[in-house]
Amino acid sequence: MSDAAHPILPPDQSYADVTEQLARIPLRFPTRRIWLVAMLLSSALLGLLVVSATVLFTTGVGIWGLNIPVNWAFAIHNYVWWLGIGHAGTLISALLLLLGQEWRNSLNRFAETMTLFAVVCAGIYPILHLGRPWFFYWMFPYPATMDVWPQFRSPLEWDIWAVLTYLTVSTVFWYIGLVPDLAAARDRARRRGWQVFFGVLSLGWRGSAAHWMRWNQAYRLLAALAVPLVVSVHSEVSLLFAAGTLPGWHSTVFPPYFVLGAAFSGFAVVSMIAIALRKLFRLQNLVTDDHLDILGKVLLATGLMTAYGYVFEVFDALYSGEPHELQTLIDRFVGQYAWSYWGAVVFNFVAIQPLWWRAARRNPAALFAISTSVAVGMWLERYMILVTSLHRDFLVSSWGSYTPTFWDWSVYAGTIGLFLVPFLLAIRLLPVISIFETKEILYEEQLHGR
Amino acid sequence: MTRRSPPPVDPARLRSIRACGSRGFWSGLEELIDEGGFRRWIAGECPAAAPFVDDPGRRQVLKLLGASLLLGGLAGCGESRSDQALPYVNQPDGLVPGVPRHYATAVLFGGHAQPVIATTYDGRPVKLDGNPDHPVTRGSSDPFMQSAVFDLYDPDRSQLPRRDGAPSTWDAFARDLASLRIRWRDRQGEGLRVLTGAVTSPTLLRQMQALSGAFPQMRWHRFDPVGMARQMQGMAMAFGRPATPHYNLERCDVIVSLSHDLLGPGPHQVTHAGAWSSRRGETASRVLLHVAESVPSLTGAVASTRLPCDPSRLGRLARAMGATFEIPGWTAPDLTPAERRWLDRAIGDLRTHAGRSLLTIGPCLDPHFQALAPFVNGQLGNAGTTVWYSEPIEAVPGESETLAALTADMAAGAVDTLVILDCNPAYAAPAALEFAVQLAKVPHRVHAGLHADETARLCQWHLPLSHPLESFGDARAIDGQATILQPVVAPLYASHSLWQIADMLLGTADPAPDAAVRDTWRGRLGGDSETGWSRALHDGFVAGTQAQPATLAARTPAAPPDEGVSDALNIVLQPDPTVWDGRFGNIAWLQELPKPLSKITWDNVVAVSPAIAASHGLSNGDMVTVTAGDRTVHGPAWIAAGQAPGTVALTFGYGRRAGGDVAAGIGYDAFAIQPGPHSFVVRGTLARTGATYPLASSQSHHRMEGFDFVREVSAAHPRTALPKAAESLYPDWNAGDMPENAADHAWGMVIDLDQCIGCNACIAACNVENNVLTVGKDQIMRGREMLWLRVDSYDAGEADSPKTFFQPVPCMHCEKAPCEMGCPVHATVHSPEGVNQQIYNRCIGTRTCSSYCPYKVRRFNWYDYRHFGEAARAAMNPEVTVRSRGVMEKCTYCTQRIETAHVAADKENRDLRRDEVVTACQQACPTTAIVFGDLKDSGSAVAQRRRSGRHYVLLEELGTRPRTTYLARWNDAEDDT
Repeated sequence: MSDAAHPILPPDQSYADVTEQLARIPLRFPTRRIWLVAMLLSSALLGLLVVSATVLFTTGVGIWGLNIPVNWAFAIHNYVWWLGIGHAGTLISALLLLLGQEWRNSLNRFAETMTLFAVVCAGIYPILHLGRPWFFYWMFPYPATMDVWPQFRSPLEWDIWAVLTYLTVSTVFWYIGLVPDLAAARDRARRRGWQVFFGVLSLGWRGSAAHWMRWNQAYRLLAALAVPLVVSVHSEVSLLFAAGTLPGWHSTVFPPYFVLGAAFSGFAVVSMIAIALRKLFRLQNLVTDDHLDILGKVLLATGLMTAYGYVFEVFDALYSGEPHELQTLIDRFVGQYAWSYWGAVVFNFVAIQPLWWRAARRNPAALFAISTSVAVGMWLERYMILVTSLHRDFLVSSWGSYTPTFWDWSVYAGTIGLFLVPFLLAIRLLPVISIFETKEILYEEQLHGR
Repeated sequence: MTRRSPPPVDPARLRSIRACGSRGFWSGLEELIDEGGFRRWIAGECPAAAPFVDDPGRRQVLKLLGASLLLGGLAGCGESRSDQALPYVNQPDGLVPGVPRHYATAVLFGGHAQPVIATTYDGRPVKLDGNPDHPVTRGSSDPFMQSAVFDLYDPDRSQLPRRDGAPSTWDAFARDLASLRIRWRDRQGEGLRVLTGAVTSPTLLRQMQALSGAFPQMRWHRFDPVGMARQMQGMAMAFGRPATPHYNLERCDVIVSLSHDLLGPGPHQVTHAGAWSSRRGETASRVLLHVAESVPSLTGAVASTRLPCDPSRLGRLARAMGATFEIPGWTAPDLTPAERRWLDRAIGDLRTHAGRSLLTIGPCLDPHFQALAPFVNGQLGNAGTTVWYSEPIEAVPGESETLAALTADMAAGAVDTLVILDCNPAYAAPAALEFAVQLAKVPHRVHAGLHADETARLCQWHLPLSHPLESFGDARAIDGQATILQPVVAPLYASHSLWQIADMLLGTADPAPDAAVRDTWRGRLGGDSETGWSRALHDGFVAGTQAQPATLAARTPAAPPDEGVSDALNIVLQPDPTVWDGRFGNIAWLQELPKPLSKITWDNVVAVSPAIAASHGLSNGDMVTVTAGDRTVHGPAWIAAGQAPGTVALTFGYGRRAGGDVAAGIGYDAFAIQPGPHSFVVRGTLARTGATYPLASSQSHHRMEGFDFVREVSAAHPRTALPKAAESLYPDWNAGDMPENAADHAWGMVIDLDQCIGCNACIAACNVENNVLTVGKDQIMRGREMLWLRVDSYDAGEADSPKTFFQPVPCMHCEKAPCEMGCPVHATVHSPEGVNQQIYNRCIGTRTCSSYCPYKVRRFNWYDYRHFGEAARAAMNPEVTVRSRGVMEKCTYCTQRIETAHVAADKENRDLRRDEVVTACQQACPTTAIVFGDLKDSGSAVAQRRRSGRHYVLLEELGTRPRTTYLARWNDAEDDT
């Protein structure tokens, strides 16, 4: 992408400009008012989460709209949704790094940051979800006096391992990628507090060749670890469903279907954040229209791949001729929750069709709207997969229905707060775009360009 | 309060004590030393004892010694405070803490004894089951019997006598009664009336006769809102005097029922269901059941042919039947083709199997029509084989002893004192009688009941009644056999039994609990009286007291009155299948028991036929007004598939205004529309109000949607289809890996759907055995019922006349259980004997097991549901954990019973006996539809059933290998083709 013929960054900027522009953001924060308002709103949502969790822990999961048969709903479905969003960050950072796609250098920092906090949001749901959350640690193989181990055949158990591994690797990857920039910020800090803050975090980085060599080894090694994790974590999440016998769940297409869906929703949210940050901090010179163009293409591609999953699901049910599968399929098309199925189709697949056109991809407002639509659409898809399969499974006598309650929504809204508050803190305190990696693109462009 | 001490003793004075002196005796040093001070003190503190100090005397001293000894003993009697309870120093003989003891006794239902074995732990009854030695129950039970322990521990029970609503004492009542008795004696009992429910108790009968002897003008009225009164009228019409019919369903090849719910809820259900089912299932010759009925019933659900027929047309059917038997005055009316077809087949079968057939006619038909049945059965030679008659089991009230006569007398001011014993006419009397209004005209009103109910509120005196499980008493079962009720627990409250109160009316000041019953049976129990008494208590019945066939000849029935033609709707009034006439309304477990057909809980509905729903534009939950004459009720509509087109069905038992927090304020009161006692069909209209009402149903879909959850076989195709060999990449499970090879036993259950009548006894028994908690209407509406065992009901065919199927669904205990794979913490695991176990204290509530369960039999504690009162805590089975919040639970095959059997076998160093373990649902089932046992023992009942051609597996295609399987239902109709 950043080839000579078509540089992705405008070439008329110096390294010092870039460093100055980006490192200045935490040190002399430009849009204090907007940030404060956003922070207040996000804190309010976080407060809502604290209140909801308190009510939840004191009275029980009965405050949600759950029942038998629909005994999994918002908690699991939002868990999958958040985790899916998180995956885009890793894909952009790690996969594109390994593939030598330098254009990702403008996006990877906030994409990774997004991953981190999205995984945190996903991570609290399995605990909130429990009937007896105070015993969540029983899922770990701790040295229990009764010598009871977790049950390793359970997809939930795999979940614990997958998500914790993923969180660890994402955090380390994010932090290591941040170190050179932390040093840059340290060097520019004037106030003592900032100097100490960045000084400690930059781990004594001096930019020596030996540092760079080690850094490169570590960074690429972690990237190589992180990429398969994206696939394994979300494949595993899909097994949470596919391992059950339920019609609509019990399908081998689930792992790739879920991974692609995750990337799809993640890229959508990355686009949203990229557009917002670029506008807020006037970074059009670093997150260029070309970036948006690429994001739009990726969104379109992953969207179409996800759509293939939809098609295959239908084919699967029809080809099997299994009456329960067919009944679930028909229920998804015309049943009580058909709105979630058709909503998912419209928001995910109809909405991305303008992305075939270059003008739409390069228009920040249009891309933002489409990305928002995809985030909503994928949310509906997770809801559809969960609720339509559960509410009418095998025995007609146990059919039921599910309606989310206030507390279902409040916990969900609360996790948005849980995502935004640390994210806002991160863009307030840390360089939102990787300074040195951006300069790397510039260097490459100048090397090859002139 | 500080007690004053006697004046201190001056030690110096002790030296001055010499001989005993002239007085000889002294009761304390104080007395000896200080005459004046001690005497003043004693006069002040205990004035009554002062003269004695002055002049003790030998006799006085001896009297005092004896009295103090007695009083010391008495101190041990009376009420002890629980917080001062002490452990046994020496364990009483035969009592081992934690080991249950069993007592034979009975609980009462409509005055009839339901003979039970009560299981008690450490002195508290926790479970009732049918008395296996009693021919009426043979060990099985019904939901009411199962739930009677919750009635005993009902926290809303009346706990002390009340006068004008204020707490009072039995002494105060005894004083009032004494003055009343003087009044009665003076007036020869004129104006004294006693009102009871239906009575079969020989003791109460004797007491009432004695009362009548003492006060000749006194009158004893009986009123049961449902009861047998209509049936008695029919019998009186047939034989000239009331008689009780007894049906030998086990001898019938053909049963024709005109709206008689033989298998439905009521005191007869257990007996009838047992006898009927002995001719269903694997039997060589199956009984055919032809039913014409207006409201879908359990009998109709299992019938071979069922004809939905409005009550107004049921009379025509009867008339046509009478015409067929050429009874003078019975002319053949016009019948629809469907009616004609059904009738021809029914009459044909009756005649073909003459002598082994049975015609019964239900109480919703006019007694004139009911009189047809004894005549036809006599003609066919069925009398004496499939049906016989005895003198009435219950004390049938005469014309002047009914509730209607009582209210008329009350209105006329002829009643001076009304004693209402265990009867709630202020609620259950038809509104047309205006009982409450007339009651106000009675100067002296006494009520005794378990609850301070609607009637109690209108009486000056309310007396708390002991529960039958707390009482000595007696009653007859439906076969006439008497049971002596023995208390299995001391009265929980300051209550007296019915028989004690009757003794008080007779003038005994403080009657002993067993005095009246012992008087009745003295000399009648054979042998020396104490042995006979013990034997009767031990057995749970008095042998040889069964009803004997009476020599009665059925008269030729008189021509029935013409019921006329009207296009008004037929409004059928019925007892509710779970709360009956309201007497069980305060038992939350019964409120939450799904109604057998609609699966509605916590409410009664206005059941309308699909035709009425279509013509009035009704859907479920639309509020409607039902009007009959100038009386109306408002209730939520419910479309009942199979209900006759012009029929609206109301059930009694709801709309209670008092009588407990559970009962009061839910549903509508159908008595408000009843024109008179025992009038069960009225004409009226129905209108939609526009409002809607939320109903809580535990099953929302009753169609099988093309699946074969319930399968049928027929004479032509007597075997269920073998499953298709599933093509799979993976090899089938190696038999050597199967869990049943891991242990000596492999537990399994087979449920015969041909025998299941959907009566709910299994669910009720499961609830009691396994401490299954109630969750309330709101939670049921959210789909959170807790039942471990549900009975699914499915309708097939047209909504106007569907075929109904029942399918009990407990945990399938899959050998390849999806749930076990899903749990991350090993909270649900497989036992070597093949039981899918749930470890409550390991469960963290991920609910994966339930998501993965294809049968959705798992239940979750969404909240802490342990909100039963302190009293109901005693009803919990100590062998089973009461589950807390956040924990999954489900059927365990009554694992506590399996383990108890293992322990017993181990102690005796033997193997488990064949069919030794019986689950609660199996034990309760009146039709032996449920069989549990060891699949490894090829001779066990369950293994035999598994070899039946009707055997099939629910959702076999999933490969879960359930241990709970089914036997297909026979399709009798297909036999013809």
